[in-house]
Amino acid sequence: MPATYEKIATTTLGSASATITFSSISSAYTDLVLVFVGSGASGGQYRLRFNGDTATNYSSTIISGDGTTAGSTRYTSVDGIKSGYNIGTTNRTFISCDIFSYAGSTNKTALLTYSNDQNGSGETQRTVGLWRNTAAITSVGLDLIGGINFTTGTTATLYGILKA
Amino acid sequence: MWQAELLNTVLGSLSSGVAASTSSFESIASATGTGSSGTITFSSIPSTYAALQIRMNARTDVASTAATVLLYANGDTGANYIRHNLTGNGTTVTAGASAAPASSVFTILRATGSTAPANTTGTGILDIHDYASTTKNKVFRCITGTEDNTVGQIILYSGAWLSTSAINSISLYLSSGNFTTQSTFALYGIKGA
Repeated sequence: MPATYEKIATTTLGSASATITFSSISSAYTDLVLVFVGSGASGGQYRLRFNGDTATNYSSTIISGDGTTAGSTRYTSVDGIKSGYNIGTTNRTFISCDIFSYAGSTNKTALLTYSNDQNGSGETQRTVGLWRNTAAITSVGLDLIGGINFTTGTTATLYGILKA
Repeated sequence: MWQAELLNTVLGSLSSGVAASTSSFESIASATGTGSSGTITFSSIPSTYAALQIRMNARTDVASTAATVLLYANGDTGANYIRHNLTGNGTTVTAGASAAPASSVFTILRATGSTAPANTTGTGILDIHDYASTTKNKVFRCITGTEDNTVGQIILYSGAWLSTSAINSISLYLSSGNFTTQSTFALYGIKGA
């Protein structure tokens, strides 16, 4: 039986890569938590997708601050949950994503935190995202829009949380 | 806020030679909406943890796209709660707060309502540190939101229960309506060192 809070898998890039994917995810947990610490070769907005779905079945609402302005953005019927802001190239960006009832029969809702500071630029965000699909999530994929590579040393870890 | 540092640890071993497995992040209880109640209560909460976390994924039959989920601790429905919030709706950012000096209405989470698309829920993560302290008022932190591809809200809440009593029960409730059977609530305890 899985533990309450358990690491499922982790990836550390030994070379630049355009995607990070966790597949064959067990349905034994209640929630998933994805933790990403990394950078892009030339920035790029992160994009989160489930079960390899590249269709416009995602949406999100974001609140953000960039050191000058507080703002809120929406993405409707897009091809992934995304930030609208490039991840870092020098200092790493920290993203966490909680995916609720990922193996259940409702559409999949996620809460994300995004922390990116480049010592002169950057943004902090909190996001609620939706994948309009009632299927259980069996894979989680992360890429940068435009095919930009994640840099060597970028890490991503997937955790499972199990309720009583 | 992610809890990656709270991975399972193995402490010591039993006399039988089998290692005892203990976790810093433990599941205390869970609940599911019934469709006929607008209140979820976690009671008899042990005082042995350093912090509590509630994880919610919920839908209601409130006739709206979204519904506010309220909280009271230890059965206290008096004017002993204060809160602030920062809300983004995709267009504007607004800041809010409960009415001074304190309120009986403690808004802390957001769920979807009956006019949101079918099978769509609101979510939230609520953290309470030092919940068992008998010398401090209780402070809450929450990230919550609803998103249905038409409207959405992402909300950050901070709040306090103006009581030095240790929290032994938490009730999440709707001012009207019910949580549907698609709603799940889970209470976790986080141990200190």
